[in-house]
Amino acid sequence: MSSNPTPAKKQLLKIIILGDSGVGKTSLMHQFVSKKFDSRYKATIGADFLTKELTVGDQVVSLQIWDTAGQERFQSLGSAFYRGADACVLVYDVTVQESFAHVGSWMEEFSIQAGRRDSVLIGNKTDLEDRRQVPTRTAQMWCDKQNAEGDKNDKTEMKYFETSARENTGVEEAFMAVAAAALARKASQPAPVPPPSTVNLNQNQPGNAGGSNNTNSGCSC
Amino acid sequence: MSTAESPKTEAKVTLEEAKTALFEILDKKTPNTWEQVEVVQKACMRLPTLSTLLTGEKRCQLYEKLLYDEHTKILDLPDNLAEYATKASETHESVAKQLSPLMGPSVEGVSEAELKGFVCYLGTEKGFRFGEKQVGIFFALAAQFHDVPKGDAKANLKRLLNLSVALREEYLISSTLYEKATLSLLRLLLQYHDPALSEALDHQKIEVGRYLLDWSSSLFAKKDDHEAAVHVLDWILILLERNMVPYAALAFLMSNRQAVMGFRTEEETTEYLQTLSFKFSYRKESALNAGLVDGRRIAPLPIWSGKSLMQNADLLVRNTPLSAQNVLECCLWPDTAQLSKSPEALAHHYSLTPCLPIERSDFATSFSTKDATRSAALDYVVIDSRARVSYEHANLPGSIFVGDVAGYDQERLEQLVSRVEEKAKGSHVCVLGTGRAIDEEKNLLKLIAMQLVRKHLPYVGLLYVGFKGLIPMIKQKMIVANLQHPEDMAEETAPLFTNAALDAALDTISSNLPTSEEVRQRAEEVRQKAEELGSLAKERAEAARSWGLGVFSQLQEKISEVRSQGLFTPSTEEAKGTSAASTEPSLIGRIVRPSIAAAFSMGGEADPAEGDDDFDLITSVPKPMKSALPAEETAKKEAQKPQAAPAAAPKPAVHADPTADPNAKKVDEEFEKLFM
Repeated sequence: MSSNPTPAKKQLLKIIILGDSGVGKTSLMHQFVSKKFDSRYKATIGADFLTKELTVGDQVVSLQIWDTAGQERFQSLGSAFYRGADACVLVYDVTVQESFAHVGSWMEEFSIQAGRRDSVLIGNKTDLEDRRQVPTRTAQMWCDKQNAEGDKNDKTEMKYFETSARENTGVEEAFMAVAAAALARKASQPAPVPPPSTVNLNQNQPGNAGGSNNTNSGCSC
Repeated sequence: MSTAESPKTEAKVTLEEAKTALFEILDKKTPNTWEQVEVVQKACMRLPTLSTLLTGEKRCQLYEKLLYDEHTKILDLPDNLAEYATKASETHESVAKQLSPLMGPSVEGVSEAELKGFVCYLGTEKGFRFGEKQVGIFFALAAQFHDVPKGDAKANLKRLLNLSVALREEYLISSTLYEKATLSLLRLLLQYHDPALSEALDHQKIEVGRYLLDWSSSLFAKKDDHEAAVHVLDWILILLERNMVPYAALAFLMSNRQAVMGFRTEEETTEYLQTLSFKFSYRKESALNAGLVDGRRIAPLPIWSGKSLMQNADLLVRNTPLSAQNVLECCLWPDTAQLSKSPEALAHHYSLTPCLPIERSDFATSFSTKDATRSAALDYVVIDSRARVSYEHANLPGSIFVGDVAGYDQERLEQLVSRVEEKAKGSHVCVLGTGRAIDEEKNLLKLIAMQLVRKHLPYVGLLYVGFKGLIPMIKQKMIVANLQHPEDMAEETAPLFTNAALDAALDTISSNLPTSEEVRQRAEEVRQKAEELGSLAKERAEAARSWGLGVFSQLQEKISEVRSQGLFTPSTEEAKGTSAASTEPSLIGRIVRPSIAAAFSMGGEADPAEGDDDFDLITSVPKPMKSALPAEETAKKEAQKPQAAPAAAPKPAVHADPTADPNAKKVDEEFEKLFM
């Protein structure tokens, strides 16, 4: 299959933002999409999304960014929307060690629902440097470890960024990086192979054992 | 006395006369027949300020009239009460210590050991739990004895024993079996009735279900403030409806909505809710629930007494889908009936839903072909998100067509929400799709529901079985539907193209068409085949083909990708099903219906080929409470309900003065009709 991208078509990329409650996922999304920051905290219920168009290289991309709930009681509802994602943004709070410790389990849950995908790890709230609990080096090493452990046949990459949604530092770079990674992956993937037209899902059903979809079973359509 | 008999005479009855009449009834030593209980209820209803008029003795008499029936076996105190003291736990000792000052002179002469033994006996032999949640209501009962006439102290203890046991058996929530599901369901119910308040609490990470459950479990009594509880308990018992308890909790929370929504932090809100007193005082500033003048036909009234609280609770009950009412009752009192889902599965079910799930049984009544059934049920406005051709082929009366092409487009979603808001705000709305087990469609429906909830539309629900789940009911003429070709739904007229075949066609289409080209190819095949089968079959195939076609077209890449990852395997829920189901070759997993026979019958044997996914949760009719109405009385009262239903009220309004509010009067009248 050809890996040459078709230049004119706008690509839709679905990005999921994950992480513990209160790490700043919603703030990051709003800062990136609307350049707005609201210091009042409002927990996300279930999931919500915003769309932003951007250009990556010469490709116009419509980035559909899904902000998910970090609260445990809304996780099941939120994770239903992971499917079909092209990449994920894992977020932790640099001032909360525990939120960094949970990043692995967020990634695991995402992989279960959406498969392995490129991702970026974001250490948010760098404006609170004096309260930092997670050193940059620790997070960077974690990313390196993930990159080293990945499946050789299905290589995904995790980049690390530090951001402050409040001060709008590093936000654009992180989202552009995840968009670029997702786009590159999409371009390098073979086009979906249509299933053989003779597939008959009802082959085990009595009266439709012929295997084709034109038997006399009333209607096999 | 009938309602029509003498309204003028009744209106002239003064408060004092009504009080005297009630007290005379309470003093009579008559057997507690149902007729007698009704007389007591009517007498109480004439006294809106009843709770403030009752002395401890009169309250005890009232409770005895309401809690005991002809068959109640009055328990005797054990002779060896003091011996139980030796078995008393620390909790029993602690409770006993507080009992003496609470009951005052009424237990003069009873020794400390006997009191300890009494508490121990009640706890160990009669199953009364003196934990944090239920000790308050016990103290509230005990405190009523403080002013009973001095006399036989043991007789007073015996009365307390019997009242406590009856209350425990009939009203107290002690099971934690379905607790997780209950917490979610209570939150969903709050969201159903007051989405803005629910959202505010969710934003602050307040687990509101916990508060609602705790208040219900404690019957609004606090260990250190049990006085106010009897003002609620009076009316809970007068109504003889224990299932009103959680709705009273909801109503109480909603009456505090302005204060709750005014808090900025989780800490502030938590402190407020934890220290909330159940005392009722009418305050003008808290009376106007401006946020609830939102299109609903009747907004909750300001709460200024236990009676008005229960009026609001009644309003909430009437506006809650019957299936949710039944599930909640089963969760709180699992002995009521059996649920077809395990506690874990039920909790999981609710954790996945963005709004209250509506069950097929709700539609069976709301769209019933029988006028009487339909008029007594909630009026649903269906938000139909199937493809246009499917909608035109068959739809439910009053439904709003929104189609299946909104997709994940914010602008279109906003337009959709605006349309629904314009046409149906305040009505019970139910989002409905095809009912196919396709994640993309399910997610889209959830998204639509979430958008409606975020717009603070009350009464938003989602019918997971979709239109597909309604087809058997339409075919059997159980529910009404607008049909393009009514003959299509006649059961006996489809020899060539059965519903099973239609389903097979849908399966083939939905699982075999990852690209639009494939969709078109397959549709062409469907069309060709349909032509062979005749024009009638062709029309059906066209309708079938279109179900969810917009979704497929829009999400073709996603579907192909998901398929390539093999993610169309059964979900965890499905995987728990039977082995036969899990080996089904279909790529689209089907939800496996539990093997327990559902009480809701589709009127015939379900055709397995139809994939008849019945999500209805109730599997047996709830058992009546011991003190509940006899069957004929229940039927009589049920027949009265439609007239009293809030849907009949003409316009929304909330007024500051409950006594001057015409709607308040109307609600009051409707409420009282129940007991006349």
